[in-house]
Amino acid sequence: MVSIEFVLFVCFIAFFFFVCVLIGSSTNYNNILIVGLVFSGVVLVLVGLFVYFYDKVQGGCYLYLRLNDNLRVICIDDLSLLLLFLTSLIFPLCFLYNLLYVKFAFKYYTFLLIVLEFLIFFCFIVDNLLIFYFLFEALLFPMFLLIGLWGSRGRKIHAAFQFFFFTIASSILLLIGISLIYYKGGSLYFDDFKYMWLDERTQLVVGILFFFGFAAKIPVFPLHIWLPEAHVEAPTVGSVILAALLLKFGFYGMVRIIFLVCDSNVLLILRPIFLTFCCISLVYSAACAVRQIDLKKIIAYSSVVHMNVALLGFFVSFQGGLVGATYLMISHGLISGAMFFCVGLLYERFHIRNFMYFGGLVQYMPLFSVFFFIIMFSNMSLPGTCNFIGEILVFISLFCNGFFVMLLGLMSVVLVAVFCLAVLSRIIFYQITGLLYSNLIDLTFVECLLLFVLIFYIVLFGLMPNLLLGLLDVGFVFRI
Amino acid sequence: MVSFITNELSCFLLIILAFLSSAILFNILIVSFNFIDAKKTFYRRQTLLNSNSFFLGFEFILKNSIRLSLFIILWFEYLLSKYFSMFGETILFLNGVSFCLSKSIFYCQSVGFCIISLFLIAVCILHIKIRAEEVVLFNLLLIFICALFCSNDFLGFMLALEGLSFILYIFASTINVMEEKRSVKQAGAKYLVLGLFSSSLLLFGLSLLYAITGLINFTDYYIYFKYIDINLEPFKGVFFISFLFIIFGFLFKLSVAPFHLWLVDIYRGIEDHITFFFAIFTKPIIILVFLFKFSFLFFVGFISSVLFFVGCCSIIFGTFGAIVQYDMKGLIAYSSISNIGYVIATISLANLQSFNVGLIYVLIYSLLIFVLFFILYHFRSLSGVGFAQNLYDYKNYFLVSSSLVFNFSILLFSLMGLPPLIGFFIKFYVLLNLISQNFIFFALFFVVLSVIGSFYYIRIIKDLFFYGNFIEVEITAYPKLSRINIVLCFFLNGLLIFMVFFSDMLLTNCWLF
Repeated sequence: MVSIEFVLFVCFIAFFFFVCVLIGSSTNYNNILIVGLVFSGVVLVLVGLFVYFYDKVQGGCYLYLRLNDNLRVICIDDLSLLLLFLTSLIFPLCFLYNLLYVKFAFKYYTFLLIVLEFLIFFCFIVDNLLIFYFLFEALLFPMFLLIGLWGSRGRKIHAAFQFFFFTIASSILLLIGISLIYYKGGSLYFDDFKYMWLDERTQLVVGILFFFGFAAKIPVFPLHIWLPEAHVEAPTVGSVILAALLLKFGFYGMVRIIFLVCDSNVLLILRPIFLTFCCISLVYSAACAVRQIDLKKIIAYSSVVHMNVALLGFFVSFQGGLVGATYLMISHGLISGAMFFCVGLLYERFHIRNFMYFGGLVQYMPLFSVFFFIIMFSNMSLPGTCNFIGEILVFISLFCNGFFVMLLGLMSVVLVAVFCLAVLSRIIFYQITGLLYSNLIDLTFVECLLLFVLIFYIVLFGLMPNLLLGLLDVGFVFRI
Repeated sequence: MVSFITNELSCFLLIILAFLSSAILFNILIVSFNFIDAKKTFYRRQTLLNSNSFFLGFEFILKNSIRLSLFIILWFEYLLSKYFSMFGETILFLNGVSFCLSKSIFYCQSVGFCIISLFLIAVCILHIKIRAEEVVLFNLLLIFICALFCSNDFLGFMLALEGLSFILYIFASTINVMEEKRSVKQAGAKYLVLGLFSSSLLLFGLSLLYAITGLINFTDYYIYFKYIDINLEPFKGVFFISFLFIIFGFLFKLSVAPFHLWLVDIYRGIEDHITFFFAIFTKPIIILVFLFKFSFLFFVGFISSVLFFVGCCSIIFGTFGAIVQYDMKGLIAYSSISNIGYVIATISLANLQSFNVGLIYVLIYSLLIFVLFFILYHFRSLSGVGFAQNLYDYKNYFLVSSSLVFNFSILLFSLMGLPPLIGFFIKFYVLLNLISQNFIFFALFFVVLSVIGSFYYIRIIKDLFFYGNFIEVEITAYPKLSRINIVLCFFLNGLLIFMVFFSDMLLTNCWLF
């Protein structure tokens, strides 16, 4: 018996291979561009269909794909639907951005992006921990090349190696955790974790292994070293994908595994360890960001701050914090993507990222200034933007359960405001510097469109949070 | 145990002998033709190299004849193997040398045959100029592979093994048609001496065993060690010493860590395609022979611990040795040392599943090296024949031929052991096998070492794609690649990727035992 979902699944994979062959054989710039846009458009339509027909049947899971009774392949639930939405939104914008600015080896750039989108798409919807791990590791290859080949400066090789080895080294922990779960629990399906009974010691070990395994992706303090390097050296699109999508894998993995495998009393033991690391990385990276002068590095550190705020909510209280954390993930994906696009646009014009050289852009680039202003303020979680909703949910739940942790978290909010305002005042409102006389072109239509799409969703989710909160019941983890 | 020659078997043996002899005669005929041509064109060697379809045609016939004879033998043997029972039929020759035929022996032989035929097909496709004598030697190799797996006692085994190594010594000292390297002679002599030394170790161990027990048959030994507790024997120490000699002989031939230093020297010295033939061919064959003929060694507990220790050593030495290598052959040598360490450590666990995992590991690894051979031959060095030796020659090759470089990097990721590729799965099976035996610490240790080992592969990828300044490269200096070869590379890589879906089947079907 072949279901419609199965046909859709096979068709999509065939379409992917068809697109790869098409790109491999074509030499024309326009054809490649069109193929890339069509692929991301198809993914967008697919996710749109998922959202439109979304329906909580079959145990909180919209779409199950089974090859037979034992072999489940795909399961799309609330969390994966949200992350799929983010994926399908970011990638067409990346293709559009490439259209404007990539000159070197455009064909391979597009090819790698398509492979990345395919892998990320399936990574969020597979139902098996081992396959999730495979796809998660397979992302290394395109990202390594993306940083190394199209990176901007001489230090890019260093950054690519750091990215590669941090991920590989953390994946050792994941691999051992996976084999522990398999030998002690007997199954690797995400659905089976909630029925699985493991003894307390194994639960503790698995919790710690998976926390530190995914901590390199989030990233948490001692394992965050690769992130600023990779962000600074990667091309704009690379750092957008890195910040908006790849950092989410850590969160996604933790939600899927740690909460289901570990009992609440085990979580109670583990919570202080995790919270300590989160707090350290939060305050540390916020303080680091204040002292940076490279724009991309500032954004990289600020994304570390936001991800760790989300982790705080995730670990402190199960009730509201998890919803807030998920909300913060989505909003961070939108906002950090928009910020990296902004910095990329500046970099293409002036070929510099040191913000001390900029000044007074509001007089010559008013459109850019407006967009940048809105995005920076939403990064400071101004009320009315989606970041605000996420943070307020997290801090309310922190207020009930961990007052001291909340104080530390609020300190980071202040520090974020400090460097955001510093960047804003320097770039937009300062006096005009000599550097800027040469390339003063305001945003073109396509660039405006690119930023507008992101800002539209930032404001939409800020003003109408129930659009997402309706999806995010507490039960979404357990697929009740 | 021993039955007399049946009608069928004698018929079969006669057929094999007839085919082999006819193939050899045919080859010698062509070789003599080739000698005449070589004499004619001796003074205009350059024009010989640049041209011409006539010689290519000759080579094609040569290589086809050997493949033809090979497949016919395989087919006959397959037909006959249907009649054999599970434990095989034994044939007694004069002087007490006995040979045995069974289904699993047939599979082992077919593994050897497949490797040779794959290698020859690749040689044909890549237009590697090899000497006509080498083709004859390949034919001879087939006989010795047959004899090696069929042999049922020490005498036949040593005869076949020595014959096989004899051909490998000649291969090692074969000099290319185009240029004469002095290093080849040196490496050939070195390989001869060291090979004889390792064989003598093996022979000494075997003769010690024979001196104590008076047995000569493998099956007899299997029964002997299965039912007799060796710790109660009066000659316990001599048993241990003989076992150690046998194992060290094999480890020397496999170049496992304490005995690995000769490998790099010899790989650097000998010709390029012979290097790859050694890397592809010798390891699976020796592992297969060791598992099939000498499985009685595992009845003694300390052998497993020695093998496990040696395997761990080999992984460490191979991994850290490869990091400082800056030429391709040294890299291949050290990579094979570390990978053979995984195999040895796995089979030292001494159960059926671990034997299977070890075998699959070594077979798939040699398949990976075969694809590496196929791809590397497209990376021509700027000066000279063969592939680019120095890793410096690979820099920025992305600008020369991007599709080839993509292929190569996928293969390197597979060798590195990155998840969706076959190279990950073989390491993963080793890991699972270790964890199922409660060797969790060693599992962690192996994974950490494989991560360290991924460094030297990722360094090649870095050089291929982005090595400093792009302006340095002169693209016009590199030769053009034909489209068909690139398509073939893609095909081979795709095959390796799709093997992932069947790797589970390979593991669960104990097809060799």
